[in-house]
Amino acid sequence: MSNLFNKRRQRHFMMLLKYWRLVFNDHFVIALFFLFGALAYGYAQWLPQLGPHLWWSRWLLVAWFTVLAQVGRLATLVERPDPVFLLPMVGHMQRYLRQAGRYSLALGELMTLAGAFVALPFALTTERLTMVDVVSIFLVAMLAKDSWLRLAQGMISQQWGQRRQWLHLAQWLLPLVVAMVTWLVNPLWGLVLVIAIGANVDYFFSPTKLTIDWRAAVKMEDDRMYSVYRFFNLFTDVPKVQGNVKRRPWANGLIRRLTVPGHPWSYLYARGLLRNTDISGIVIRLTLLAMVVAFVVPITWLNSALVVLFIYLIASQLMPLFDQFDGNVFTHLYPVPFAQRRADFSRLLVRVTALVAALIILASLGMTLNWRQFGVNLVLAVIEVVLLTRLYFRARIKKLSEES
Amino acid sequence: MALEIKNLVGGYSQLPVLKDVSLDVQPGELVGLIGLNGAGKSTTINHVIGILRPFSGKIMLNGISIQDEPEKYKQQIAYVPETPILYDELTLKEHLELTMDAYGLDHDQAWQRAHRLLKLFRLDNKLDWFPANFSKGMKQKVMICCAFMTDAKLLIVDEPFYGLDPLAVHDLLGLIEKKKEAGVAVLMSTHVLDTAQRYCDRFVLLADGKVRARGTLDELRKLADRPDESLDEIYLHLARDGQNE
Repeated sequence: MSNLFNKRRQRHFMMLLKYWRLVFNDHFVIALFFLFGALAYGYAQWLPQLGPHLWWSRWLLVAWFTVLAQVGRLATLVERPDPVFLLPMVGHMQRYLRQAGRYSLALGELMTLAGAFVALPFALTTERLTMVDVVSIFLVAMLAKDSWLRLAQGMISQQWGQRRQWLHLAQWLLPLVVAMVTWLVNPLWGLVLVIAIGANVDYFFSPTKLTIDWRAAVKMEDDRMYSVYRFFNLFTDVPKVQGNVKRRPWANGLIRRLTVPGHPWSYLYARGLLRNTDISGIVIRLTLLAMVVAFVVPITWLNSALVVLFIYLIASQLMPLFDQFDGNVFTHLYPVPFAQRRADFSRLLVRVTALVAALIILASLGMTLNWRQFGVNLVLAVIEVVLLTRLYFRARIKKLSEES
Repeated sequence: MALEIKNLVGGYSQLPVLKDVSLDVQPGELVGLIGLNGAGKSTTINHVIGILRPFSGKIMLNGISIQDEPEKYKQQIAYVPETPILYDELTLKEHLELTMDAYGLDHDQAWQRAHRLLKLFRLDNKLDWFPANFSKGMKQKVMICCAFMTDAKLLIVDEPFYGLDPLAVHDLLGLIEKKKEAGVAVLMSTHVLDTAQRYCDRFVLLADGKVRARGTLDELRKLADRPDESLDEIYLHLARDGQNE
């Protein structure tokens, strides 16, 4: 079993490495340099402006350290088939989980240390801290993380399965109380408290006392991996992220409007777009962002340029919908000419793009009801939507349909 | 003649899985496609429904081939796959409506048929559910409802009995019987041989991508030289023979 975890950890690393390489491409690294540089510079500029006795500074530190304890989850690397294939190994799973715990702890502590370092200049500016205090603060943060991970182990055990909600609450309350004592009373008292709590947590959640709850363990790991994949999915296509399906009854009217009666592809595309959170989510988020930008940017030419850019961006996000259903054999069996499918898809594109454009242009009126801006954007958007659907989409669909 | 496959050579990539397969299904006839795992049953079916393109040979459905008139050809087939394939985004009701739209069925008439099928399979109170979350057997029932609601002239049923409860198996066989009476040709692949023996009119036994034997039960008995044995025993005999060759 110890081999199993090591093998999985290596495979996991290779997978992460593969994706990290794609994330940290040249442009993004340069962007990150600037972003972090700007953040660090802003932080450095901000600190000297702070006075020594601010009422909120301690509460900010309490909040920071409470949230910091939530960073770095328990990575068990458990997989879906495990409950079947490892069923006879239940006894050995303790060892496996202990390794997983150590691995998660190492990563979690690294992140905790980094987070605490970030907060240190702020704390030294607003508080009077001795060396002992600083060391205590670091120890408190690290021990709180350790207890947090122990509680996470409890959440995937049969013994604590019924009280999962309480453990989840404890994962927030425990760091909160510890941080409050640390910052509002004294870091040393915080250290005493976190050691006392940690001893109890270690006692009650020691791996020898726990039996794995497979369903909970698989679900927790699935959720964790899903959020990892979703992060990578921002930069590249991750096959495992397919989006969830939500019924969204409030969208039924819109679905009906987007459906051409008697056209199966139109029926399918309308529902696929509005119920699958993958594409609709990004379209909705980008539209809202575009509306905010169009609302606040006061320079006419910049506003128009951004509106045009956003409409293009949002429209191009719709393209993957075209072959979204190709994995379903029935879409190949329908006695429907391919031309109808293409026509139905472009009709949907036109309608959705026009709707999105209308919303953004409306927002570009801004606080001051800038009708000139509105007019300029309207003309530009009409031209853009026509060009996009007549030329760009037609070419893209043609390319996509040749591939499929 | 409803379905006619002549000298079909085909498969997934360059390597042919099917080597010179010929078979036919007459209107009103249920033909059982039997064979071991990997014998080529599903490949044959994938060629008939048109997801695979034959390397050579011909597949005709009432005189129409998929290459010449794809829409007319597809209009004539309905398919129940081995594992249920559903849309995550559609409710049960929407699956049925989509099928109606795809086959260009009259909604009123089709809904009458659909309601009878749904009631039979006890799905009539689940119209607004997402079948993607159903159990295997219930998903299979959804597939059956969609396929049997159409007026296709050829029904292709791939391993239909897995996951169905005994009552549903019985009901499905009744439905197939009715379709046959209406002149529909049915091609069914299965491993459940005692059921096949009772219901199929003819059999095609595939082995290693070739037709190993074909005919009625009596003809197969003669071929295997085992006059009183069941399909199960004949099949085992022929399959073992085939493996020893």
